[in-house]
Amino acid sequence: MSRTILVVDDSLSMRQMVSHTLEQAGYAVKAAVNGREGLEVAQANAVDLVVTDVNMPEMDGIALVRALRAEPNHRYTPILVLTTESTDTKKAEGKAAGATGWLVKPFSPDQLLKVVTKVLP
Amino acid sequence: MLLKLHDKLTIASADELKATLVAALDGGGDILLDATAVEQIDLTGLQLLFAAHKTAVRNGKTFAFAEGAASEVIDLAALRAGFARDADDSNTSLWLRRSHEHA
Amino acid sequence: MSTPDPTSAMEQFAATFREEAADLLTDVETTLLALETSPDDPDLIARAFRALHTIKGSSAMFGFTDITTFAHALETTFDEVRKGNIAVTPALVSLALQGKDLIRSMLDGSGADTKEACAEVIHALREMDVAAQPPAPAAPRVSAPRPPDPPAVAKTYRVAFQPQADLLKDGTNPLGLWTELLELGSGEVVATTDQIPPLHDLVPDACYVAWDAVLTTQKDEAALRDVFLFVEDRGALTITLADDGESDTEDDKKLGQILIERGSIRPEQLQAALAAQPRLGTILTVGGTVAPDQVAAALAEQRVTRQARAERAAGAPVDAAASVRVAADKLDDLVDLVGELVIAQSRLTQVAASRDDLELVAIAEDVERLTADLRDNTLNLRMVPIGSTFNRFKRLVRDLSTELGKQIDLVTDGAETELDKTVIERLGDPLVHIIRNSCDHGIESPADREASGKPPTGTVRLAAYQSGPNVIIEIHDDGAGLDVEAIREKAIARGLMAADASLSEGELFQLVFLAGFSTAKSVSVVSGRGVGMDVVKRSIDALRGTVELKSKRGAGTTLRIKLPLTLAIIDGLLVSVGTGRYVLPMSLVEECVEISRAQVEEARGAHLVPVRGELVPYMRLREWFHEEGEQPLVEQIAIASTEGRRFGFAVDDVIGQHQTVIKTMGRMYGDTEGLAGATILGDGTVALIVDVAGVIRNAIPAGPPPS
Repeated sequence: MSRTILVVDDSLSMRQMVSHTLEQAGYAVKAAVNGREGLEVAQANAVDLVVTDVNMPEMDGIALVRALRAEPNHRYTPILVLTTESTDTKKAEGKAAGATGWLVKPFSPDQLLKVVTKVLP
Repeated sequence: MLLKLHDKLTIASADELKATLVAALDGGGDILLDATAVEQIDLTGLQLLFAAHKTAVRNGKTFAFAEGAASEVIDLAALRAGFARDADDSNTSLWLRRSHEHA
Repeated sequence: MSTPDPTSAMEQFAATFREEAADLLTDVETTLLALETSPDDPDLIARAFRALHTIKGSSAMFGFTDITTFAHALETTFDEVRKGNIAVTPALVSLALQGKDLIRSMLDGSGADTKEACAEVIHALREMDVAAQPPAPAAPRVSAPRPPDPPAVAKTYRVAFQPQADLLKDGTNPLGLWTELLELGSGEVVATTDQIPPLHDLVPDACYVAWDAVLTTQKDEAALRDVFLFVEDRGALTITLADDGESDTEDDKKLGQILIERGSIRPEQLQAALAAQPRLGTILTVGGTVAPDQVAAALAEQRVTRQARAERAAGAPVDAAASVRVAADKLDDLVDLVGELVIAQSRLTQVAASRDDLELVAIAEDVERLTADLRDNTLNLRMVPIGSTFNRFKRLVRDLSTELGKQIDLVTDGAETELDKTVIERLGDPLVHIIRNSCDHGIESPADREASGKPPTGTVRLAAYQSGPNVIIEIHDDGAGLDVEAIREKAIARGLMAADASLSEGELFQLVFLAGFSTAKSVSVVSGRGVGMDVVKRSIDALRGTVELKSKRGAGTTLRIKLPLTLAIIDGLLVSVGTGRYVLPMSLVEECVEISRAQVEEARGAHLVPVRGELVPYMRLREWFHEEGEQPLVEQIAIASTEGRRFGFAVDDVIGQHQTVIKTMGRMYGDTEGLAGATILGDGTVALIVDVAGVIRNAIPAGPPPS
């Protein structure tokens, strides 16, 4: 049974890289270009993990995390936040919103897979 | 009674699993688990099975995996979570470490 | 798990990034131009910031590190603008437009000398920032390849994590943490489960478990801490060094010491427990001082540390294969040769002692010491963990449970206990016999168990541990126990004891080991265990071991087997009879007494000797082995104890304690009753090893003497 991972990022190259890496590792991937679209995909589909960028138009990553935690289906869904900040504020913000973990850009495909394995049940 | 476990014993369905186990224990008989369908289990699932086992043992009832209906998924998770034990007298864990598979 | 051919995939993403960045730069340009006319529009400012931010993040991902650094500077300035600390001025817009053009040339790879221009722009931006606010945070980490870890020694750490109850609320999967941790080296994880409440009180999404792990790894503490990065604010993490990776000669830490170091008990609690003796883990657990999980965690630490040290002592890195396979017969040959060497050495010692040459004596002492070390090390090579045989019993018990319609759990303990390979090989069959008996005759049917207030599932416990020069194996079942009266009746009916004999419970239990005590048919009637127990006894005797049986009606039965660590060496009592020399296994000899000709005559033919108020039967080795020569006026009697009975061996003289390597005897002597082997003495003569149990069995086949 392959797990489904939702990738939310407004950057096409990032979306491609993350999706491709996850697909190669055997995960099913759904993608969205901003928080609002991501929320819609998560509401309509069974998703085992959400990987989201922070800075996005329409609805940013932090708002998406909050919205997902309010959904009964995603109260406990693991969420990874992709951030460019290595400083603690953004991570703390993400954690406070209910994110499970984070990954600081730049990261390698192997680092991504390692964190994904770590948070997926 | 034979209790068939669902495919996902994770936090999302933990309430449901608890209700199932409570109903089974309240039935008062011995419980054998059929875990052949289990595909995923997390800490909440392990805790619930552990608690049910403990409660059943306290009531003098059996709570065990039915013959041939144990689950590698569950065994592996129990091992990873440190629930498996080298058995001793005081231990009533549902999971036993199989001699030397840890390393 | 890693992407196949990541390089070409990454190149493809880099191409996508170039196109994407070009679009974003166009967007930045439009936004900046719009800002010139409406400098306070927050949407425009946010848009510029976001575009620069995306360029920064993605460029870092795909290796455009020069762009990352530069975009970071621009983004920092626009962050200040966004916060209202810097106003949008024509100067800022033109600086930003200049920056945008620079990024474009860096993307194309066309502009060769962007470096200097970038530095100028960054400098100008800094001045604006400084005017506004505190210094900009350092540029983001750029993906420089991490230098390879320096070769490190493997250390053993204790990692304890005590999470808050809400650990799981944001989707944290603690199992993943431990999997990741164990991937850093080798170790074990033990969960403390005693806080898990009864099912009805359990809140499904709360975490009731705390963990203790022991890990041997070459990684440093920071790498271990990294594993818990996401949860460090949701629990207490403690990492301490359990073993620094330096010592391999230091003794293994005792369980008690580990418990104290881990803070599970206080020293004075340990003292109190130790005063009560047996096995520490059991006392502390049963006494309620320490939770079983804590003992389990400490035991795990002991195992992991011990293994790490053993691997270090073997001079092998932790991750590499640390063993060499050697054919078993090569090992046996080596043991034989060492045996010869021990004999040669003891001759040397004797000769040296007889000459008045201090130099020779000194050399002989050196050789003696080296030989002893060599012997111990060689014998150690044949030691293997008993756990390998435990596995087959799990299967056996499972099959028997089904076959007998019973519910039986087999629990094992001490699988890591080591025994000589040859002992383990010959132990399998007797253990199968015993476990089969426990399941068949010990454990009751689920209905019977429930009727007597026991849990329906019976337990057979197989435990091994080392005790001095011996290994103890215990097989315990919580079944019906032996029926003492039934055994007595049975033994009387079979002529194994006199009808009016008064035997202690222990003596009665030993009767089940006698040949002809019972047959399969009658066993179920006697509700004891009888099937081939005499065979079990013989097998254990052949291993120079002893078997003891304890049982409590209704509560269960325990068989306790005591085995020497190795068959190759015997610690014996050397005695002489006529011209012959004999060795009695020291483990069986209790004491030596004298008997005078007058006492023998007084007894009027009865072979009984008074030993501290009790009359003990004896026999003369002289008669058994048909030794020539005159019986001395005062004989020595070595009192041996086996199967709960005492028995004496009359000899001419007791020479002393003698430790030596056993030589197997040729086939000619293989069947000689009463002989267990031979050994060569220091002076080159041969001494025969007496099969004490065998002789006793033959000397008094009808059980204990009438009292």
